[in-house]
Amino acid sequence: MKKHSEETPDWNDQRKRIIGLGESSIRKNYFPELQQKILELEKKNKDLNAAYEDLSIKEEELRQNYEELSTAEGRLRESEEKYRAVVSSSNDGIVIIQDGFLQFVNPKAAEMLSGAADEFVNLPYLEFIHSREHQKIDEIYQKRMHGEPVSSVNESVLVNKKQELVDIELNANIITYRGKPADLVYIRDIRERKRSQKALEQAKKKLNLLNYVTFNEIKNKIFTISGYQHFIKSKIGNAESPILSFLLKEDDLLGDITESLKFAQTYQDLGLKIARWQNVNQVFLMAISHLDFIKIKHHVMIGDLEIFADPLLEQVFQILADNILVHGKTATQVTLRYEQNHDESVTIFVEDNGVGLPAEIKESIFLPEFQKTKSVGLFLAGEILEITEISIRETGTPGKGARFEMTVPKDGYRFGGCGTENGKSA
Amino acid sequence: METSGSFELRKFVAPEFVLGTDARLLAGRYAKNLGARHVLVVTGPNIIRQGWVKGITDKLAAEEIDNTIFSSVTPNPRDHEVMNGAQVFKESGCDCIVAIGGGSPIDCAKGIGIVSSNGGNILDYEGVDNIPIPAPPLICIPTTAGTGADVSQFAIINDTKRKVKIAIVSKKTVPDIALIDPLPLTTLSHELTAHTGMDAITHSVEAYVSNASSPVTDINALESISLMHAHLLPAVKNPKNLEHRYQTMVGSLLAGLAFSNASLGAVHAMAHSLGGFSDLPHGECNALLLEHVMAFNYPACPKRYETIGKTLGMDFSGCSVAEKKEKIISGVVSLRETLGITETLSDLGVKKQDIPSLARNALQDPCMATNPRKPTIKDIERIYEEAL
Repeated sequence: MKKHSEETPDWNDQRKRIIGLGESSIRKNYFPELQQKILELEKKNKDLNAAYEDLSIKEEELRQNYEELSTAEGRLRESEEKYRAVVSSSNDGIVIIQDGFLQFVNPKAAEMLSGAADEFVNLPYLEFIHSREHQKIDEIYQKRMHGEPVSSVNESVLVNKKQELVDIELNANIITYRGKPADLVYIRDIRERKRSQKALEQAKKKLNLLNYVTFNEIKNKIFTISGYQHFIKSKIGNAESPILSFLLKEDDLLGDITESLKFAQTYQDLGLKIARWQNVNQVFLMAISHLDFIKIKHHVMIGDLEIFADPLLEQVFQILADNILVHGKTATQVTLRYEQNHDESVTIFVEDNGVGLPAEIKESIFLPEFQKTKSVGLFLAGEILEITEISIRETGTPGKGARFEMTVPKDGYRFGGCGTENGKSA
Repeated sequence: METSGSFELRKFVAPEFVLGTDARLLAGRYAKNLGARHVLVVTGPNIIRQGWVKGITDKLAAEEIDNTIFSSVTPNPRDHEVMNGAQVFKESGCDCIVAIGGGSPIDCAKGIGIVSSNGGNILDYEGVDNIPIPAPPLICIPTTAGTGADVSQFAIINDTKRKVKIAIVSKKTVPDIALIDPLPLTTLSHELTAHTGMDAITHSVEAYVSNASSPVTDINALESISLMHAHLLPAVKNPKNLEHRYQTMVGSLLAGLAFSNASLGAVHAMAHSLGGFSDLPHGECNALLLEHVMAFNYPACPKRYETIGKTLGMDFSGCSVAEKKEKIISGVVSLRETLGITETLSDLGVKKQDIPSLARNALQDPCMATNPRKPTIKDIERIYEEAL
């Protein structure tokens, strides 16, 4: 509070102040400040309106984004539901492996492992692979996770909680799981298939044995019959004897039986052995090495092309080369080359400069009837190639040479030994 | 010091006011006009008892304006009452003040407004033109005919520590609206009617002889004297007569406008000192001091006092200056006594030994600045002694 003086105030000054001319006008002296405040408020209001408009635009954008997100979320949920349904009801086991540990196990995989899905999560996947397979499977897993080329389909042996061994086929691919790379693995129980294969192989072995015994028995009998015929011919003496003509007919029949046996012996091996990747250049050179190919020049322009084919592929090239020698007549050279097609298949050409094939037989040379009459083996070649879906046809020009085209599907060839084929395992 | 006839600059400040029966009932409308949402009603217990407050708060409620009543106000309002009122104003979330009463509730309301806007203590704003920030909206409804506080730039507060009434003079204390209704006067006591009436007359006399008077304040002062002379005594005798009450209310209004702009003089300076010292009724103090101060001031402005005398109906034909003075002062004494104010300061408990202190405080009062004759402390002491 103010201090009070005992002195008499300056009355003139008091009077002037009472008259009040020095004082600002009452109640309105706030106006300039008020006006300033009003201007500030108007500016703030304007700014707020602008901010509100921005906010409205952003809100609309957010709303649209939200709708898009909702739609996407709906689709995702639907997709997840489908995925869950597929994964849950799959007849194949499905697991996700990350950093060597199981992160997801579907009901089928849990059944194969003999437990509940949850109890396998966060356990090392190798715990469930037979110890003799550890090195192989882990190497494949590590290579795949490091982006190195490796077969996606492999066979192995699973050990479940009950220590039972289960033959399995693993089909693996890299996915992103919870923001990190992971291995999505389909596990198929192939015990039944293995049993069937084994039974089939056993049956084939028995059949082969039966064929072998039968063929050798027939061969021995034919050889014995041929001996007897030769003996009969030498006893007849008279070259004009009508019996000789019957004996010659019997010789022809025995020749046909021998050829048929040779064909049947080759044909019985078809599909017996598992198809494999084969270097075309090497197989071709091996095939012609069995033939008298000294007079025929060969140009091989096949690079390091490999095709997935029956082990009898060499027989195919041998048949084609033999045809050049027997039916090419004027042939002096043969060319082996390939071309890649638009549909990603590849065509291997075997061309010669001989007389070529008459146009009227082009369509029938791969039929079994033609096989019986001409004995050129092309039917057999077609059958060998068909095992791995390779087609063959003749497209040469009569009088200028024969040309055999073998078309290999896109996942049935590769270059350089590995890594570029689609879906085939060695 | 004679100032009439000079051309010194003057201004005249008056609030908006509504005069007439039931003007008080416009409080709701005017509070709404001022943007009020919660009104602090400053009044006194007697006024509430007489029922004048209820009708006004009903009108506020009708306009959906909340109110908080603050009635802890005594005659000669104390500084702590003002501070309590300011606290209530703040705590209740008020944004407007309606004062209903005589000078005490109205001055207290002005003080509450000053503290609410400016903070600090009410005593910080003593003197002339010391209020930086305008107070909240103030509506005044006078219930006496004499205070003039409802239209004035004055607020008088009792400094309880120093035992002196301080005067706060600022145009920022002028109310926003005065609702001047004669009806509440009809319940005013004989005594209070006389005291407040003499207060109004003193306002007019002091304003008229003030060295800050102007032609405009003169008109108001003289018309006020004329009306009070004609209607005050009839109003005392016939308290329910609305015509006399109305005229005294107009007289009080005009006196208020006059002294608000011309200020006052030694009577009020000395009465303030008395009121602070012994809590004596303000109107009575004025009435007892007026004749003595007039006698002291007379030589400074005899013409003005003569005009006052004529306004009081006196005939000065053939009178000497001394006779005129004697006649005028006798007339004032007669009026006082007719109104029943016959005591002396001694009767009210003032002792001779109190006079030096009373005189010192009176000399400090801002009202002394506009007294037509500058008194010494001895002059003031002598006047007090004459009034004993």
